[in-house]
Amino acid sequence: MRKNSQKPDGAASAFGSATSYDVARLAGVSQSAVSRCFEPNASISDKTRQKVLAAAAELRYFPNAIARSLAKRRSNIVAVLVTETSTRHTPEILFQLNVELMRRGLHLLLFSITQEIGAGDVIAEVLRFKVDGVIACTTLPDEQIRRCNDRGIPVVLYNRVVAGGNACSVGCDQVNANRDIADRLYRSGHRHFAFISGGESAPVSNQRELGFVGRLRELGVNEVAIALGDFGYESGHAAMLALLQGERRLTAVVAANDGMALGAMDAARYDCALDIPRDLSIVGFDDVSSARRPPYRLTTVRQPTETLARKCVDLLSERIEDRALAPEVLLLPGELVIRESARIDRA
Amino acid sequence: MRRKFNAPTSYDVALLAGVSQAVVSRAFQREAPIADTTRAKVLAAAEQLGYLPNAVARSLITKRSGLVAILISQDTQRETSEVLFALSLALQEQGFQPLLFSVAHEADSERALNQALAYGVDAVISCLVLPLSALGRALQRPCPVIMFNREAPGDLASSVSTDHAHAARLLAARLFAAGHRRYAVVTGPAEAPVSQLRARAFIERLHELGIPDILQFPGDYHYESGHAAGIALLDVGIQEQRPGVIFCVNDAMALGVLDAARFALMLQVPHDVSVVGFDNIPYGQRPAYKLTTISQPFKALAESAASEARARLDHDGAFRQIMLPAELIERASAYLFPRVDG
Repeated sequence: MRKNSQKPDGAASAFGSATSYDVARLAGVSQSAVSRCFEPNASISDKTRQKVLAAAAELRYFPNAIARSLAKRRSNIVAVLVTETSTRHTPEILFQLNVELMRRGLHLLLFSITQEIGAGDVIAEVLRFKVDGVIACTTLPDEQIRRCNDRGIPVVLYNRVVAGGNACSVGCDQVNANRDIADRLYRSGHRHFAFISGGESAPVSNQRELGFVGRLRELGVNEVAIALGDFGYESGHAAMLALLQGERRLTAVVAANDGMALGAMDAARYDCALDIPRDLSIVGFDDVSSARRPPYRLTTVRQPTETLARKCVDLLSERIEDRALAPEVLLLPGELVIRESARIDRA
Repeated sequence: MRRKFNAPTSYDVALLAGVSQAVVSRAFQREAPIADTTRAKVLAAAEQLGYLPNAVARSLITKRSGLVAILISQDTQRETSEVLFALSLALQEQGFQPLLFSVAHEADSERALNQALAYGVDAVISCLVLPLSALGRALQRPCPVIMFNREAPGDLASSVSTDHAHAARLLAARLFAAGHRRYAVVTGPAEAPVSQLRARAFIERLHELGIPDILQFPGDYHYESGHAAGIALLDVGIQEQRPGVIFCVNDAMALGVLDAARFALMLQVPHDVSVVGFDNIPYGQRPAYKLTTISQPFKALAESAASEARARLDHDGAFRQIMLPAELIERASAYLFPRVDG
């Protein structure tokens, strides 16, 4: 492949432009040994590696991953789309995805989206780069997914439902987790409920609401107060104050995430002097680190973030290997963690 | 193997451009000998067929990839999630796309840098200590490096940093003026230079003020180690041996100390002990903690790191060392006003 670029003996012709051929000659090894030396997880003996690295250092040879990716049709780069909400409130997701990608020698190209709805043309941005796959922790319209598929780029959605069936999705079973919470709260005697939503166009919040409100309706509770938040602590605080002004008999509040649940707890305690859980029960979702701590001891649902991330990257790498594989949908159960913020049936 | 998607090959590109496959492959190698017009023809065909994304095609002409690497530790990513978020937004605003390299230990920084350089990134923003030799290698590329809250050894890189030492010295003086005489410091991991900077400046200033002995408890930046430090330092039986001030080099540990003091030992904060942190993370602001702390200007730091990356690419010039002031945020976990101690 490089027969046109052979150079005179041992010479790196211009600044920084030595080739793998030059390095191979100086090290006395084959060109393929040189490229193996710079590949993650490639088999090569330590001795050969030392020789190659010494020669590379002497010649100022830098392997060019982009050029290599063109030869192999792979860049080992995966685009990860995250919202402000997930980056801020659940940094664990990005962190675990990164760990799983790195374990497979893949790198994470980060696309931060400031508003959930703003995912509009992010795929156009993604396609400017050569990526092997896309993981979206945000809603993607079906037509955007198809644009990726047309280019042979597999897409896996994280905690998002797939509309057109053109992408894999891995998520926590939010609906059933919150149906279970509705059941348990009802069994322990609660009859006046409220839900703090993360926003009308936030799909994760909508699923959690669907499970909670849907199950309550089946149980004969038709009126559930809904307060709108934005997943942030402050919005949970404000929503709680608004709810307590409207409905005096309220005894159980479920928030779409922990951040808002913690805000709601603080509003109830510090602004309204309520005792939790005697006067008011509050349940969250996610099990963020501060939910576990003594001031809060929040009852919440733990998402299996490690498994979610692993499955997400598993599905993606299988499809990078074999693009003909059909999309799969994986739903993993959340784990209810009962602490001290709610009067709730433990059975 | 049959593919469901017929991804275009270099053969298709060659056909459309009217050149040989060997020419196509040369067009994609920056250093290969090929006429500019031929390369342009090949790249146009490649783009048309979707063989080559345009950022990559452009990078072959401009020798820019549009990628900027962020090197970061898992601790930074977890304990101050603001940093990564602010950096990624600031980079995107400068027209860069961040490529993330996160490492378990600060000591793995050199390997992360090498991987980043292999991807032809335009610049590196390092939230990790980098050895001189590694910076030298980046300089040869040339790939500018911007150290984020880390020193630039040998002035081989730009740096953007909070003025940790100044803030810690100021805090020490304010506490001393309030009458505190018994101090303890909860330090961070030995490999974290920021932790040492904060602890050292705080202790030095107290030495200058005539406090010779300052207790130190080795933490690891995490809440749990702060909790353990709180128990170890405060559960001493004799009130006179208890420190009046516990300064933690980050907020996560300060929250641990607060919870240990209030919930495990039933002490009153700040009546029995003053607790101060560093970073101003959101959890510390809440009514359950009201942590007195020092605020790092993460957004300003990130914006200044991203624009420094842009500046280093657009025009040469000396590396810059940018230092931004921190701000003391007084809440309810410490006495900073003059008072009689014990």
